[in-house]
Amino acid sequence: MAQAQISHQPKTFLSRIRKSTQEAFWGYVFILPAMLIIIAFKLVPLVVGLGISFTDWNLLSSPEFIGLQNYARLFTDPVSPIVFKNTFYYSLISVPLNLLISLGLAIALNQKIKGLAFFRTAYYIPVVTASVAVSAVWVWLLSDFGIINQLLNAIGVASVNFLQDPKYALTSITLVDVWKNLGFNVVIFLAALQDVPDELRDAARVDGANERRIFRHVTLPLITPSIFFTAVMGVIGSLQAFDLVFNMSLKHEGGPARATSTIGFYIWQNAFKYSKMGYAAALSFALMAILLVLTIIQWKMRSKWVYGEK
Amino acid sequence: MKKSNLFVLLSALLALGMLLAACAPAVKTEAPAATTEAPAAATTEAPTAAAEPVTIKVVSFLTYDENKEGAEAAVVKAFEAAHPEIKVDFQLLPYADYFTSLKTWVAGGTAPDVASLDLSMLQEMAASGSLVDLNPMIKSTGYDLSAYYQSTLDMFQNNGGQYGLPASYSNVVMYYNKKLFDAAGLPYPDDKMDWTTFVDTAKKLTKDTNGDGTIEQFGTAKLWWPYYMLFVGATPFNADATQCTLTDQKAIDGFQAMVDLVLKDKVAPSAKDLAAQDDWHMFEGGRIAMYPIGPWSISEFNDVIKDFDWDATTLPYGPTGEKVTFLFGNAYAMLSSSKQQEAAFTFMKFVTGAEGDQIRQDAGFEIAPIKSVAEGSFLKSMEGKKPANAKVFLDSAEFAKSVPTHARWSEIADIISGQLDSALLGTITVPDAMKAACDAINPILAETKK
Repeated sequence: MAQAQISHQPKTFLSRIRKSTQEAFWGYVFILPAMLIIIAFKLVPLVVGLGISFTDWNLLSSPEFIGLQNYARLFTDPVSPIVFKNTFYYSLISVPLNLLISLGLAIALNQKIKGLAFFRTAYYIPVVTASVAVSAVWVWLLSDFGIINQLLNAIGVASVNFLQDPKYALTSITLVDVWKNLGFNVVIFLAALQDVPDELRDAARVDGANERRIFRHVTLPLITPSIFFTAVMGVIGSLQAFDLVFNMSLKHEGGPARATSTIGFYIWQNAFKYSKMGYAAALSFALMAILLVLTIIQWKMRSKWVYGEK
Repeated sequence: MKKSNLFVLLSALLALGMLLAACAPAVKTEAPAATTEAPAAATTEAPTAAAEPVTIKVVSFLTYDENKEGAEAAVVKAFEAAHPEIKVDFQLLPYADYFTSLKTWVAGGTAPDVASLDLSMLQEMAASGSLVDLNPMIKSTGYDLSAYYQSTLDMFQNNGGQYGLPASYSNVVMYYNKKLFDAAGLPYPDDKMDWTTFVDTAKKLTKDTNGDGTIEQFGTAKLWWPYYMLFVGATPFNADATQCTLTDQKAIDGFQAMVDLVLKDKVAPSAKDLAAQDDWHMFEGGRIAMYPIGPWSISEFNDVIKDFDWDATTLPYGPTGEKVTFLFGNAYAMLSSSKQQEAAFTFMKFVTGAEGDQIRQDAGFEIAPIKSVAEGSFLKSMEGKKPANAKVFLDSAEFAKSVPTHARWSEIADIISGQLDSALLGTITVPDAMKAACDAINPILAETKK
């Protein structure tokens, strides 16, 4: 339509309409394949899932409508406070830690040092490695005979039972998550850092700012959009944590004694182990609601600190 | 603009409609499922001669992932040769996601006619009415059940109905590493061993061989937790499953004995030890002296263990003087949505009968529930293999008990094992753990009753 207006050729009202609908038609044709996939595999399951959350359904007998009972169960189930607490802990540790370390790494990798390409690739490798493989390696590293405990013993510290002690198990898995997903943020930050114009930094330098002040007042504000993006994605990703818990807890039980069970893991257990599809769906929607609220809060807050968002 | 919005809406609705249409039959098929029962098989005794061969769909996880040279496919092939009037659409699936897939097919209305099931799968499906009670068909066709071990039939009953025919069973015995016993100068364990002797022997065989403060060689290994309940005669809930009974002194004593093995006497590897190497590989590596395990270990242990000689005996008497072992089993069951019940039953009789069992047994998979096959072939197939005392598997069948069942057993079991995890870490006492477990289990029992 915008195109039609700036066109110099005088056109009749009718031909203009025809042109724009034709363009729109082809536009929709081009997005149709993607739309169909989204509708078939995202929207429809979402709607069906919402329906299931109001039923008692074990897959074997036909679903029975029970209203809001599954949502009420969220408040009476003795396990749900544990999994919510574990999940928030997971998120609270992994998101800030990931942001801090990856920002530091990105700044380091933005310097002119030897073997830069190697390091940039190296940090990205864990991101693209299957989490089953990552888990298997870390279960070994953290075991009683693993290299981490060997090193601790060498400096005179007693072995720590990283994965089987409820005090450390969740933290250990969370830190592995940070290690695994670091590379993703590093790449984003690196791109953002390289977008910061040298002129601005030079100008600041001419004005007498030292490196620290340049970073604080020039570089950092300019990469806040990237920090915002990675923070939002990090919160969403960490609250949905599942694969590392599944793979690293002994016998895939989210233990010891529920210490490492996250919401995502508990949803899986209810759906595919306990055959409680309705409750699993209700848990999923509760999680979705939490994510939605947190994302909206982050979105509203962005004008306070994100550059260019006023 | 308006027009194109409409277009999008229409195409979206169209796509949605197509999807819903694809899903619709799934819901429909639930109805006949409930009504089709025995009559189909009972009334149609007529000769099925020159007619078109009927096709039945069968899914199976037997004989598990190792699937000894395709034993189960061979069983099906033998059936098709013997019954040209029935074609089998046979699908072999890995055990890992088997039950999820099966439940999804039931929900989607594409369930097979016959499926292999383990004990807890079968009980869950029977409780929700997804399986056919075979008793009317057994009666009307005069099928003789006395060829099976009675205990293997009992496992697959629910409320007096027979919901499956056993295809294989196994139980747990105790293997022992002769080299470690010889080195310690101890006599080999036998079937008279009581609990105190067992624990004492295990203590003598538990060693920190290189003196670094961590134990390298364990006297024994902890069994799956339900054993410690069964071996004192305790149950997780009362007979009509209305009340959790784990806080009874019997159950507490049983689980205390388990916790003591790991925490007090330290004769069995803890979760921490097992994180580095599981007990199966520890035994293979000569790090466990007395290892309780079932016949599924026979083929691998015969292949892998070269460094030491080993044999087997029954599990010891429990602390209260009872002798118990696990009874595990797999059955073939018929789904109530099946429209080919007669053909399905013919199939089940063959694959769980003497001929099918024979093929499975010859492949070395577990133990045949058909007495003649087990007694004739199992021992013969074990000649020249270890354990030399293979008869122990048949002897143990005498006092084997199966794990308790409940429509929501996997949930109940997770609650109990979660609490026992804490008890095994020493962060909670056994009585407190059982109290917490009962607090969580009682609501489940109450819900299931209604």
